[in-house]
Amino acid sequence: MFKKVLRTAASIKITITCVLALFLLVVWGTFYQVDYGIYAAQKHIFASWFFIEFGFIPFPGIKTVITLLTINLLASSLRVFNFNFRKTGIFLIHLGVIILIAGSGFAASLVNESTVSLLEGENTSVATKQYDWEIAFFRKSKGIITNIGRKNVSGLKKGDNLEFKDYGININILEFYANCTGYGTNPHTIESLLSKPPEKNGRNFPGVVVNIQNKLNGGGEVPRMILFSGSEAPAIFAFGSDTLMGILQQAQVLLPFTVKLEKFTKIDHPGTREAKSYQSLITISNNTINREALISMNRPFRYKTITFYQTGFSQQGEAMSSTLSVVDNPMRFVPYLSSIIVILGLLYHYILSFYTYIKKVK
Amino acid sequence: MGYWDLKKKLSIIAALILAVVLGYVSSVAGTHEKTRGLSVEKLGEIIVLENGRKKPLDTYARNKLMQFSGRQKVAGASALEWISSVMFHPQSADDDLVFIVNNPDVANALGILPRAKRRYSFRELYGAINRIEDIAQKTVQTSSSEWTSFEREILQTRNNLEEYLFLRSTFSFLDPQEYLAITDSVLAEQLGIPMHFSPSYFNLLSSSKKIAEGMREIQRKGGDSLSPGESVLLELAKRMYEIENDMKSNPPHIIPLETSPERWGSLWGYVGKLRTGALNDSSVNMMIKARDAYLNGYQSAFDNAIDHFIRCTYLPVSKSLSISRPQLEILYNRINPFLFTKIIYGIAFLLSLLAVSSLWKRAYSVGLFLIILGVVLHTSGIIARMIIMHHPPVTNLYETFIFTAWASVVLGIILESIKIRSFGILLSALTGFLFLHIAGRYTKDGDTLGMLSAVLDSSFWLTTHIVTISLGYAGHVGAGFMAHVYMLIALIKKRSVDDNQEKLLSAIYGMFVFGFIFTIIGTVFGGMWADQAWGRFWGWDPKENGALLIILWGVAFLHGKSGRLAGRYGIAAGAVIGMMLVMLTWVGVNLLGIGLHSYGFTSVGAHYLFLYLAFEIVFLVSFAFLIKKTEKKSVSVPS
Repeated sequence: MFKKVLRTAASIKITITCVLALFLLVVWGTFYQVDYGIYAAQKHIFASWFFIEFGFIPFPGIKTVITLLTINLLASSLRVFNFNFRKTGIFLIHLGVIILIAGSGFAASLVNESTVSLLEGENTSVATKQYDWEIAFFRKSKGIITNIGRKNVSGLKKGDNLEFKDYGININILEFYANCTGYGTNPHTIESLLSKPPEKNGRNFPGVVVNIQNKLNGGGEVPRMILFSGSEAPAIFAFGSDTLMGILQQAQVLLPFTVKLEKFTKIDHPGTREAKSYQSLITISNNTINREALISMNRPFRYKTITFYQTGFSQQGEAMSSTLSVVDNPMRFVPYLSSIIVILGLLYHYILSFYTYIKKVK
Repeated sequence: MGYWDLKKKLSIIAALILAVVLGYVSSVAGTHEKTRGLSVEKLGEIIVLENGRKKPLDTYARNKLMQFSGRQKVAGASALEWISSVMFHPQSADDDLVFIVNNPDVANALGILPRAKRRYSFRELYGAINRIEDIAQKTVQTSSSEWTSFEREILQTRNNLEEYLFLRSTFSFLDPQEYLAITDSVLAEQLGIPMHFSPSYFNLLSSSKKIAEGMREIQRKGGDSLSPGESVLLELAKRMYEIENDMKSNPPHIIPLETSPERWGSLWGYVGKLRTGALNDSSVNMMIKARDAYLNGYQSAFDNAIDHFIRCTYLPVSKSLSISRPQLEILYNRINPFLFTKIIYGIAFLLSLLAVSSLWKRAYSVGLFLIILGVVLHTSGIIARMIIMHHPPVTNLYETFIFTAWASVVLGIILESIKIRSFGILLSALTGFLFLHIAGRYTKDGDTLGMLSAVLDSSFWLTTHIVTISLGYAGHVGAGFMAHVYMLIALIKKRSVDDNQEKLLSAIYGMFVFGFIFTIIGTVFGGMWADQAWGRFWGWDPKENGALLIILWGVAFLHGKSGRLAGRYGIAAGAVIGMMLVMLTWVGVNLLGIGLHSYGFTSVGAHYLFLYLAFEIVFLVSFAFLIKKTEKKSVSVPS
């Protein structure tokens, strides 16, 4: 029975079907990207298990097909694999592919991508995420602002309860909109939210309505506080002598150091405004380190698992602002390792075959 | 026929071909660019700064003529001869048919009778400039994705006319301008210029001291109660200022600015400095002398003036601006190595057809000799480009075709050396010819020696990633071509497979694997580069997806073969599809216009690509149909 299942699972027809299915999905995803952009294409096809098209027809996403392919690969290696000298290459190729698939799947959950935009002379120790939003609460008491807590809004739903025990604060989610428009008498006070369908390109403006209960310092309640991602100022509510502030902002990533942009340089090709190169001189510092680094296109700066890349710049009046993307990826080595194994396997196998062929011809 | 006879004949043929080649090279290398009985060769050494690159005027002229007319010559005159008449004596060039307008509707709309040769003169088109402007103004207000081919061509024509006007007015400061005529007798006398005579801007410069004095006087008065002469002077000064301001930043930029030498200017940008005498005996004066000599046909005066101009303009700054001597590039332009190589491959292709069909036995040796000659010239061309630009062999779409052509020619030679007689040179000749021909289409975009955008500024990754990817393309293309040959032979012979065909099939497989491996290596290098530059190894960019499709197809193909799911013709058809995917990724992905590989966004070749893909589909379908028929026959009629 087990053998029969194994034989079916290891069928080369499954391999080819899966590979061709991947082929079609990549074609589809590429055209999808032309219409809706890379973010939507990733979410819909490249990094999905299933997706619905033409109204109701479900299609397997690339994740599903790759999982099937991996099972097929493992089954066939269990079934036919007996190690010998000639098969070393084939073994390495497939081992590399398995490491690539497993490693990439695992890495995807660990990678943290964010960006930092700085004017010359500015510094920061937080980076922001482009598509992720969070709600954050602060308390201002006797002129001192304390951080109560933060919560990413992805996965948030109506009726959720957030408790910040140390501060005696209990927050109840009354309404949550993944994408909405805020209305108010002026841009700083939003009085109502109107839900919108989510944007395919991922540029959504979420909004949330919360009820806040204060259990310490005599207690109190904010019956209804509206937090909208489109307004830059926090919502404020007075609690006796204290003030409570809430904001819905782009998710922040705390960096283990402060980054300061010392100087941004853009060099053009002579006589044109087309950039030949651009680079940022930054200083990073915390209690233990204090060093300068020069970042330019193709020359990133690495610190432990964090890498800074020069990705863009913008002119803000007289001043130039530099945009650095920050990637924290502890599994960065996976694609390197796996593709090197695959290539070694390929070379070993086909050089051996070629050698045999030439000997036969001669 | 004795052995010696054969050898003698072969060496005579080889010697003849070599003589033709050497004759060509030496004749183009020593061509004298003659016009008005005067050689303008020297002019080609002047340096022009355009799109960030310092190039010889020789290259600039060729690019401009190519851009305007799609040709390398106009009415028998070389690009350099043409540009010198546009610059030095525009009236004589205005009637040359240099502007290509493909769409006859454009000519009709401009009130010009369409010509079969599709080329029109400046005078004709400039006569309709108002209509062109009208249509262009309306067009630019709409989104560029909605432009029709008619509107695109109008915009292109307007742009070309504008650039021609810039060239044409290189020396217009010497032309009499009615606009600058002096209408006040007192002022005329003061400046020493006759009344109602149309002076040139240059004439007025000689009176610039007096004009300046007059202006100071007006300034002192504060603009109150000006005399008629003073009003005229004020207007004149205003007009001089306007005209200089209009002209000074126009191309061609041939002189480095003294204050910030990374910015260059045209003659107009410097002529104003003569006012202060700061530029006495220098760049502008030398060019004026060269123009006089040109108009009068004085060869040695012309050469001396240009020589002097080059020495006093570029020599002092050549180190700091890294201006290299343009001779190599001019020689490269003259020899035009890739055009010549293409012709050699074309002849070799005809010979290899004769060889494959065993119609003429000598054809094989001569063809092989030509291929080797071609590859030598091809390689020299690639090396010359690397030296001129100081960068790796492949940096833009044009160069990917040049390089892939080279790689597939070399693959063919290797194939030939492992005894797949005649088919190797057939492959070399055909792919070499076709890809050099395709590359030629891209020269119409302008300078093929362009500067790199910031993201490509990494010699290491450019070399490793793009060269390996191009080798991968070459392998797939080689396999695809051989697959066509294999399938055609199968149809023609209608008999069971012979030994030679078996060899051909293993060659197809071998080249496919070669392409597969290099596509993987190239894609991995690309991933590493992306990880270095953008922070991710893989990002589903269209070009990355294209490479992935080639790889996935390779995986399906190889498993299909090892699992015995694909027969002989399955392997051949798989190789053809592999080649289609390569063409789609190579040219097609750029047509999508999105993604990070923006070095190659262009719509050149869109319909050729679709034609090619349609051809392949028809080929594969009709092959499947015909081979079934022939195999049935050969089964039912036992031999």
